[in-house]
Amino acid sequence: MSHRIVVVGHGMVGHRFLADLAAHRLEGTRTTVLGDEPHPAYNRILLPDVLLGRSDLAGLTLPETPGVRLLRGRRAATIDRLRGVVVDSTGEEHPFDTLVLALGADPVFPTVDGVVGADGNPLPGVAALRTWDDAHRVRSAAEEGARVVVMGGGVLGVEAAVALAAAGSEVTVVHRGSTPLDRQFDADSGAVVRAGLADLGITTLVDVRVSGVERRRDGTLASVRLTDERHIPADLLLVAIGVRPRTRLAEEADLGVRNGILVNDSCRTDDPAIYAIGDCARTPRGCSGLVGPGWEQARVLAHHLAERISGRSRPRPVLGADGGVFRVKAEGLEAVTMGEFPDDEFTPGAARVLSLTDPAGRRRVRLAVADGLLVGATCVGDPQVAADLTVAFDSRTPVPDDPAALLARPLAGASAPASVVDLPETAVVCRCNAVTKSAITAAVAAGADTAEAVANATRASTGCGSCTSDVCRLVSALGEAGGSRSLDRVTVA
Amino acid sequence: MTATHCPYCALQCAMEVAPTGTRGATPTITPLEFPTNRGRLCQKGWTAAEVLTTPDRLTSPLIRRDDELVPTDWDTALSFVADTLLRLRADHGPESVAVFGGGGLTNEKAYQLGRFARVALATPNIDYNGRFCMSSAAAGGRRAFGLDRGLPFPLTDLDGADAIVLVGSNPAETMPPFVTHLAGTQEGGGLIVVDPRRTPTAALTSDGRGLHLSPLPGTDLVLLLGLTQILWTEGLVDRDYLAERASGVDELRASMAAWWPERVERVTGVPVADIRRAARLLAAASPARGGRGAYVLTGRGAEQHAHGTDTVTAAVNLALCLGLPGRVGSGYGCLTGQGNGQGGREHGLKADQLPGYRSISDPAARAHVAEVWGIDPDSLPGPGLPAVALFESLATPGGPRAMLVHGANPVVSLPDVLRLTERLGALDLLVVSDFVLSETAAMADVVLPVTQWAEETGTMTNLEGRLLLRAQATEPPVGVRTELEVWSDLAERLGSPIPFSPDPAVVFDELARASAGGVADYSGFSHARLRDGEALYWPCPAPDHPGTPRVFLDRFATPDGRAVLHPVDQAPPDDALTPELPLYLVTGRVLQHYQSGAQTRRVPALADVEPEAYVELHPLLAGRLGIGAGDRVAVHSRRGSCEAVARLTEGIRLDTVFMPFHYPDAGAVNRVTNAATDPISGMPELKVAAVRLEAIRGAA
Repeated sequence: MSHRIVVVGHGMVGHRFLADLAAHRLEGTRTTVLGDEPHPAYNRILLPDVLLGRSDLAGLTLPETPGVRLLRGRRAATIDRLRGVVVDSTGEEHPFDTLVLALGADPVFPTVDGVVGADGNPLPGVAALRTWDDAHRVRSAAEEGARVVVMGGGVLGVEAAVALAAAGSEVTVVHRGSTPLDRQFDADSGAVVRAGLADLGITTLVDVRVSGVERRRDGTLASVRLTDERHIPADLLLVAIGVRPRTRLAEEADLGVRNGILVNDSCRTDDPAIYAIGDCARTPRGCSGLVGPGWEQARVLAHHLAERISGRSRPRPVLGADGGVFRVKAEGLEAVTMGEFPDDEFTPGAARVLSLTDPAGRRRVRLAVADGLLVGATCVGDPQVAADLTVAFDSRTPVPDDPAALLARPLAGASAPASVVDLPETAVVCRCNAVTKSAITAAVAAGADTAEAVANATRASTGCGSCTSDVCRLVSALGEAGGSRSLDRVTVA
Repeated sequence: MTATHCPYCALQCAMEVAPTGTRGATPTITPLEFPTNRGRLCQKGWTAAEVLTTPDRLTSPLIRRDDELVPTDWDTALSFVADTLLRLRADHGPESVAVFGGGGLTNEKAYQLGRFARVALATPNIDYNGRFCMSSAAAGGRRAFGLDRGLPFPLTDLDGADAIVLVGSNPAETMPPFVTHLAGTQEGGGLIVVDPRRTPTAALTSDGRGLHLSPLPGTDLVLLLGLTQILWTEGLVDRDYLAERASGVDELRASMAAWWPERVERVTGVPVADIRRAARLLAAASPARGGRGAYVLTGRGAEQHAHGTDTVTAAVNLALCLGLPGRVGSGYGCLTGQGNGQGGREHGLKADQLPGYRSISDPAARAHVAEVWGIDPDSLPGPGLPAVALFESLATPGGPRAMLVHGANPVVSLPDVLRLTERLGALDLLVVSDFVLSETAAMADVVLPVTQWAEETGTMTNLEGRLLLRAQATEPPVGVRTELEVWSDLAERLGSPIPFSPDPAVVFDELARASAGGVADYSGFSHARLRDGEALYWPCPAPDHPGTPRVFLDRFATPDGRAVLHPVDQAPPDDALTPELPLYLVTGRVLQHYQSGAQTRRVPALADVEPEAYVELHPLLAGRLGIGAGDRVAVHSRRGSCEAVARLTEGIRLDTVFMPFHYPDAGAVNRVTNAATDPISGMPELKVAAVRLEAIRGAA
């Protein structure tokens, strides 16, 4: 009899699990997937591109895994653990030998009046940004010139704010902390981010919350009210204050749940036939809320199941060192943070913490180095340094003796190259033919008074030709110095 | 005075060779006006004649006696070789003999060597060093277009492009006159160079002339996925072109969604802003958006990986999404390395191919070639092993016990070279034909002294798929023979069922017939047409056919005429970084040397500039390791160690070091490289290895 796998959830992690499992080419398994959205699996990460009008659903769609029974637009209603069956929203039963929960998370809405209805869904003029339908709704509400209040200055809020501003909306971010991105970034970095947002035309209000909304007679949104009694005129309130793991299904099935479905390192719940991965799961290391760790869980689980079902050991997946890298995806606002910083920067022998603060240059870099490795970094406003730090962090490559060198790109090519006239005599002028300046000087002294004559005498400039102008300059300078006639022909055979 | 072409790279610069009149004196060389080199030469070309008169030129066969190579006469040498081969064949079957060829051999020699292996030796075991050079590009090109011609357009077409992206290619060092074809693009700021190092080619992008992207070694594939993804999300794909000329569009598009720019940045270390800039620059240059044209070109940096074919495919997919291939003024191409790397891969040196770029497993191809050769198709062997697997099988139970080497120096060029050289040393018989005592020849049981470029006539197919005549320009030294003569003689001694002509023109005419109807159809070519100065590109199916400067203009060489978009995904380097091996080593070439250096290391003007192996590293890395400029450094990998002199440069990533591969012995970087191979092309991972560096204390 074949092994029946039921996957509930077809988001980025559920989808990745199916692909990883398929790569193991197991014999005799039957996989059924329930996805609550009516769409094919898509890349949630790229939803801000939809706000920019840059992408449609097809551009976000992920490849379908062949050989899988995919049921779209169906929620799982209940799990009957005794019978080993999932019942879906249409009443169809799906018996399983292994059940994988990849339920994801729901956006959190504030508990103030006028934001969500009795059913928990947002009221008109209010939206989150979690699903394709959300993005579509925001996109149609935030037309050119629309006034949008983004509630929450975390990563998603900042990304959405930048995308909406770029698409022509007038955007205000309302953040309860004192700097944006303060869950991941220190205050100085956050201040630079805030200034960077202002450069993009986005107002960030800090240390303040949304206390309610005002609506017009027809029910449309008029303004957003803050706890300091200010009113911000708004056509749309975009809520980005966090997500909550979807756990109801697990709770009703009496699985262990505490801010997420509790699983062990193999992603197994307290029922040996049931696993949970992605945003709905809480591993011994917690919930990351990032796709990277979710994908690692998918890979680990696919490997674990492949071994269990086939009864044969398989090559262990190589896991990336996903230490958690937060990268703000917003064109014109570069910000990334990774790893951890020590609590006390003054303890000798602990991690060394260095920083560079350049508020007017909209730049701030901070990093922590321990045992010759980068263990934490935050970078705002320097794309190249950010990319370098991310790779050094992920691949654990050793850092220079003085980590200060990592704060800015080494100065290669920063100073203008010296003119060929000022180079030492030993310098190579023509790389293709390894002709030194002294050889050219000698040729000129021997009577070669044009670049062509120098080329004939030394072969300088007869290869790729990039040095032709240098040879001309040199002949001319040497000629003037020697009082002979200056260069008139510059062509080379 | 004879007009001919340079003995080195696939640019095949035109030059005139003028003997001085005194036998043994070095002829003079003058560059000639020609579309590829435009009257220019690099230092290798200018000094190429010095190899003809190198003092250690071999002029007599050598045979091993009491562990020493001693001079002997041709008859003794050839009868020893023939007798030993016949005995091995009788005792262990024809598969007990293997042949290893080279991409520097003329078309005539490449063709004849394949014929010699399959008929005179009756062995399937033939492959060539192009496996380490062009195999991934070839496999990628064939998978997408059904045909692999390095540049499917004349090189001069590049001159008018608005944008060119060079992925893992360093022509300013490897083929300097090529750079003149980038000038127009540089002027408009459209040159994009992808290389972990700031090579002389990457430096051509400075001062606003373009963009240098410097990815972590082994991540070119991901960068290409990222560029393509941006085209899709920003609506820059040429959809009309794809609808008309490509298949697999939906699958390709779906595979892109997982590679958003920030994820690509994290893997490659290339900032998102730079990736976007490059993608937009290419798109603006594409014909669909009103540009003057764009090109995607790959080199060994992208291809010499255990997933090189997929990297090439990612580059092809990028070009197709931009609507470039098969359009005048745009396209995809790979820059062939060796002088006849293109012709060599078309006419039977490859383990699985027959002349005309035909599959040796295809019954129709076998029947055609067997008829031209006058043999029974059933007597033709099947496919042999690709190079790395072939070397691994030497002197193992059931594996070959003898090997003939022509136009190659594997003791320097093989990956994981110490292990594979051990296999070579375990053979019953190693026969090497060369004009100097290369490192491989020094290991041989018999060394046969043969002619070189200017001393023999033959044709070469350059990087554009253009056929060139390299006419004999000088008299060879007394005592040496051409390889065609060697095979003619050996075939007779081996009792070959068919004769082997020593005359290159006769061999070429047969090659032309054998290639007729194949993918690389040379049947309309002849030495006479080349002498008349015609510019001839394959395919050329008839004597009155003008040849094909641009393939794919009407259709691709696939069954339905459409290019195939084949989705590919990330694959990390085979060698993972660890705390013990925390750096990536990349390998490559320097301007003064060619391939294993057997020729160029013998030219004093070249050897004076680049005398020994060096390792290039960033001063900050050097400082941490206590290494100073000029120090001797040991480089260790999982395979072994080599030694080199430290050169410090800020033009390299902090996590990466570089070594050129032209040097033997302790300086051979291939002692540390990885023999893991690409599953499709058999290309070894020569480009990237995990290493650690260590200063050698007390060294002079």
